Amino acid sequence: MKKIVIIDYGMGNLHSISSAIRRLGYCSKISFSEDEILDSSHIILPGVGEFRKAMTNLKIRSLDKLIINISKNQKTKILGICLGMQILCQSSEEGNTKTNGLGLIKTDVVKLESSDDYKLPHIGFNEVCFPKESIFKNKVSIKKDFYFIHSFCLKELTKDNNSLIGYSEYKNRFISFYQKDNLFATQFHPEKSQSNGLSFLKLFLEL
Amino acid sequence: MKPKKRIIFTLLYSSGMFVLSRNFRLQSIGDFNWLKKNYNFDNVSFHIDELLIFDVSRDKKDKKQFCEVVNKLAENIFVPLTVGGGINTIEDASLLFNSGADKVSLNTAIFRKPYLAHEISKVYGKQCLIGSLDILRIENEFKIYTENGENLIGSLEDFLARNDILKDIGELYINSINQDGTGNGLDMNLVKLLKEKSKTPYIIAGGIGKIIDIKESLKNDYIDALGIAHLLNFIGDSLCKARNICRESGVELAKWPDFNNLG
Repeated sequence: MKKIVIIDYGMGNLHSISSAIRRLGYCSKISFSEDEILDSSHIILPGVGEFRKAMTNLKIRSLDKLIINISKNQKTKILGICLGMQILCQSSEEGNTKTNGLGLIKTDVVKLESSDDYKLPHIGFNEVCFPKESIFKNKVSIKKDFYFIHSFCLKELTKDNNSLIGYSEYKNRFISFYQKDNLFATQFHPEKSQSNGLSFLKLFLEL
Repeated sequence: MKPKKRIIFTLLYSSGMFVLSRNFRLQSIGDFNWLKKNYNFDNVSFHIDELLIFDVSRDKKDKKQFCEVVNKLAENIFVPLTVGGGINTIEDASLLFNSGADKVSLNTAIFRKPYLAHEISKVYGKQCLIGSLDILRIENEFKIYTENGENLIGSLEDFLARNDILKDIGELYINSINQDGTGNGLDMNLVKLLKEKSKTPYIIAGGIGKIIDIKESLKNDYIDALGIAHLLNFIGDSLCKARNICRESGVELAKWPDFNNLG
């Protein structure tokens, strides 16, 4: 029996994610209860909004330490989406000052490179190139279109063994997918990426 | 690499009914049940990149009823959903986010409530905020009008330089009042002005009436995102066909398989 919890920390499109999960035939709970989160098989950390506010909200609900603890316990699979991916990192420069994150992904969040032709935010469907070892790669092609809407992204990782990284390209290449042990993260929004996104969520929930 | 180009469908809602607009005069077409059953909107929504819903009710807007419609629509749509119309406070915006909106859109309130865009972007992020502007061309000048096209604000070109406002807005939705609902195609001079002056990403709308208009517009380098609001001209499979025709002529659009083969 899957126990899927969408973490409610006041940041994000919780309804979009629960509709997508319902469409796949699973039930999920929107919750910030420690008991429910500890008892879950899959947690989804959504996130739309600003990094500093997200971290403040996580701390107010004592979710920061809880998520770090759960990440050590291999039984629960974690998926961070967009800002939910970024807060798993060590820090972010959003808001012009450095804010610390949860530190589970060993890199920092920086502004996406832009120009007159590559305006911010980066909006729309773009290709994600999954690493070939990842279960998320398509059977035919390893590239698939997913919806993005963001101005910040993960800085290239230097020392993170055993992680699988997927990339997308805007003005330059950036990290759009991360996987290590039970921790998964996407810069794109699977819940907003038509059937490509639903297939992705289905694979995650089947883990 | 540029993201794929976007076909964005705009639903106009007025006092319980979905409506067609022609130069901002409204004509009722059908209610939510009509949209779901007769129009088969779920099928239409599988062939678009984003959906916008604007409450354009001219009388007092029934916010609760509108939220219920948004909620019901959001249930089966797996692309970003932007909702606008009558947002005057952050509470109005929060209600819509809680009803399933991924982004909200401000029009009149950009000018009438100068702090609202900042308040919303501080909580939800600027990427969640679309600035919707209705533009009337008078001779060769483009003017912004608010309140359903009735109140003159000023020049679009001046507005595009207003970083104090635009710093809180993720994207603009630019609708031509002259072209609205006419099916005469986009105003290409308006597109050119946006290309030259806008530092903010923009969706261009107003005048798209046929599949060929979609293809011709998206072939243009200046256009990344196209808004379509003509409910009756894009019935049945026409958006699916439009995507195929665009691709055949070299327009890069996102691809996804049929929903029946999730796997």
